[in-house]
Amino acid sequence: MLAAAPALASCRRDDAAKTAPDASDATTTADAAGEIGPAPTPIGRWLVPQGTTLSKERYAMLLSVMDALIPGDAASPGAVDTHAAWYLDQLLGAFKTDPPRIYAGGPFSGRHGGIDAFSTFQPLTRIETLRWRTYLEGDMGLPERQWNGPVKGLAQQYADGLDALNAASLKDNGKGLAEIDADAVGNLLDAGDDTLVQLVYTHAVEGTYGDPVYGGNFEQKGWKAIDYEGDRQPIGYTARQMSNPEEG
Amino acid sequence: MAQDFDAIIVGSGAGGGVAAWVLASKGWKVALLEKGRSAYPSLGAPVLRQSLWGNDELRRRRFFGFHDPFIEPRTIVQAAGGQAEQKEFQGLGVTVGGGTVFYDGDCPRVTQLDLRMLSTFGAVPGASVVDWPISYDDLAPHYDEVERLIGVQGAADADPFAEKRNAYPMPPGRPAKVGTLLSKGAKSLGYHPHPMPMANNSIAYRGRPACVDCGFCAMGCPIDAKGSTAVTVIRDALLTGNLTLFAECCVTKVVATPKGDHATGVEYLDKDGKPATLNAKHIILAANAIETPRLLLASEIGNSSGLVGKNLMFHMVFAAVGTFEEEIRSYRSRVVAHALADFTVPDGSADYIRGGYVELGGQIQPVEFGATLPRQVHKTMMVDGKFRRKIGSVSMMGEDMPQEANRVELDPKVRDVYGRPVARVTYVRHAHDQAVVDRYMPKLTAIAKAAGATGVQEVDFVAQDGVPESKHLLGTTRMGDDKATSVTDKWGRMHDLDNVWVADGGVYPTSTAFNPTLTQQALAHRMATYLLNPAGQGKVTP
Ligand SMILES: Cc1cc2nc3c(=O)[nH]c(=O)nc-3n(C[C@H](O)[C@H](O)[C@H](O)COP(=O)(O)OP(=O)(O)OC[C@H]3O[C@@H](n4cnc5c(N)ncnc54)[C@H](O)[C@@H]3O)c2cc1C
Ligand code: SF4
Repeated sequence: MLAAAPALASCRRDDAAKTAPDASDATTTADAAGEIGPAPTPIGRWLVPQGTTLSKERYAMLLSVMDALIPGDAASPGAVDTHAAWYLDQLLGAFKTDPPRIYAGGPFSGRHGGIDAFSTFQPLTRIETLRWRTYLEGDMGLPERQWNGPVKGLAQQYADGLDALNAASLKDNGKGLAEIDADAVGNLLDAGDDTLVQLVYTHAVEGTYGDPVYGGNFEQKGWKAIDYEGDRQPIGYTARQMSNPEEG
Repeated sequence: MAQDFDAIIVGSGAGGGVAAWVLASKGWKVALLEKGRSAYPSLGAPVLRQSLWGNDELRRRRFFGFHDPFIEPRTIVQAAGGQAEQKEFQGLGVTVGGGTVFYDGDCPRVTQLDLRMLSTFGAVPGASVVDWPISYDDLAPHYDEVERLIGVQGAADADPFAEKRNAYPMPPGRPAKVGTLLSKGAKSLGYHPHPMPMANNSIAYRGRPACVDCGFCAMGCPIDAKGSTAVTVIRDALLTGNLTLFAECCVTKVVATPKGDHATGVEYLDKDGKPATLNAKHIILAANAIETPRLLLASEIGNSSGLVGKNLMFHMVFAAVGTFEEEIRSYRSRVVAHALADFTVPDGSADYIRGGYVELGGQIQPVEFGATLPRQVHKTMMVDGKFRRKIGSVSMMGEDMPQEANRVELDPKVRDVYGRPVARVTYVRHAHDQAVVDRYMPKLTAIAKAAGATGVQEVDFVAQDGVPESKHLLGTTRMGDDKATSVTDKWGRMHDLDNVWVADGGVYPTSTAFNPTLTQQALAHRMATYLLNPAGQGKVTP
């Protein structure tokens, strides 16, 4: 199964005129990973793609936070441009598909030869299923998920964390998190709960530089920004590429 | 009682895999129990088809086939009298092949000096330094065999500090740029850099292809060019028809007779989580030097010395990391291709004995690099400076002192996904260890600078408030001749039980100056060879 990418090349509302939803994306509408429709929802500064696991409102808030953590500019894309929010959303909704979108297949991506095995996600073992359901959904009162006490799932951590930041934004700025500019978001993050900020930052980095099969690193923009080749199997590097890397 | 197997091995990592091959190849019926999953749909088939590893950092970050602190937490105490805190540290592979799936493959041997620390240098106050009950000559034939089985590349005469040896099974692979530069720098200071002996194929070897230097060894080798035990000894053992692999089966207890001097089998949770038992004539524990004592303590056996779990050693790993003018791209290579052993020889100081083996090179992939940066410097470090492409490191595996207070215990509160008490580790650095770091860190910096690196930063991976991350787990079932001061004998058999053997780094009496895995495998090979035929006294027979 292919990693579903959001239909929008850009989730920035400012860019909307330049990047009208591509009609070809309609073909992914029935993708079991989520309803990826062509009609985005404008919320604050953002265009929210269809089919998100987070509520549309929280997805827009997440875009604001990721944009402040890894901003983009003309020379290099930021977390919003690499679809890092979509990456996180795919993780939260991993169990919408079977096999769940947790572990890409092996051994090759197909980008350098061999067939693309990455996009066939691997079936999980019993323990892996228990692990990831508990981690994402929380214990849900089930005794088998509480081997070490109650667990608040990742989805709930995000919901609570974003709602708290949004409340702080309303209080400080009179506007919601999705509406305020990056500087104002930065101020909130500096003052806010560092656990959430660290969590989002980690996912922003993963979604920017991780393999595109997981939904981020859109068009390998993250790798291009740092002039990095990404996965290299089965070709690897030649002796010349090893000894003379400056040649590219 | 009817026995299900001749031997049960707990853990399919470095030592477990080697022991499985030695026994199964001589006709023993062996069960290999591994709590992790197999990443090989066809490991026992005549043709080895694709693995499930990939050049993919996220699979690794999501703990695919790896120790996962979410389901198996650990706690750690890092100061004398300090509190235990839940942290992520010293994770190794939890999969068929264990840590050898993810390791760099650095395969140096020890020297005779490593095995004679007490008689050569005398006692160190506050540390339980001892001699090993065996010599280098006892190990040498087993090194030869293991190197042949897993496939090791290297240059036999390149390291003047190593013991005399035969040619390696494979010549050294292609040089890495960072190692070439650092070797030049080291040479200019009078040191003796050489190609790192590695379990990565430099040429096609025993049905596996040559390494293409993709730089993703830490995520498992997608083409099986690295000699993990999964694709070498375990696969070979499966092909004999004598080995039964029980993947996704977690051993919860070693069952012993009421007197505690003989084991009858193991209890485990099967793939579906159902409790099950197996019995066998012999039980071999190879779960690693944190997990084996954890299992022994939970089973309440083998501890008449009171030393099970004690004398835990990790090595001090510390490094000088510098930036080069030119492009390095140290990820265009297997992890480390060059090394030097000059500091493993004492330089006569009164404050410490000696340093350890030095790796010239090392690498970090972008997600891990980016995620560990403070978010405020993300752009400067990742994008603007192209910093990641120009960094190179020189790192040392320092020999840490054995101390009884450094230990593995059962945590009184925290449980894992199987309902087992988790490992609680206490690890506090000895003054001697700190003296080694203080003495040798500037020498590592000098090598980096001589190679042309600037802005050199000194990084200590086992700092007081950081967590130890050497990935070398040693000492918790130390071997020796006296049952009052050791847990296992010179063959790896537990003093207290006549049929329980240890085949992991736990048997190390002192931590040595070298990366430990090849030596663990040689010890496991020696142990299993003895077990097959005690009268042969561990002699390798063709
Ligand atoms: C990134 C990395 C790089 C490394 N590089 C090097 C290097 O270059 N050179 C070197 O010498 N070393 C290196 N190491 C260390 C090396 O991996 C270890 O020394 C080695 O794997 C230890 O072998 P072991 O057999 O003792 O334990 P492990 O490899 O940990 O194997 C133990 C196995 O037992 C299983 N197990 C544990 N408990 C149970 C149970 N209760 N029931 C069933 N199964 C169980 C585990 O799942 C595991 O598969 C590296 C490690 C890492 C992670
Ligand atoms: S560097 Fe070589 S051994 Fe390591 S994963 Fe790549 S091909 Fe395999």
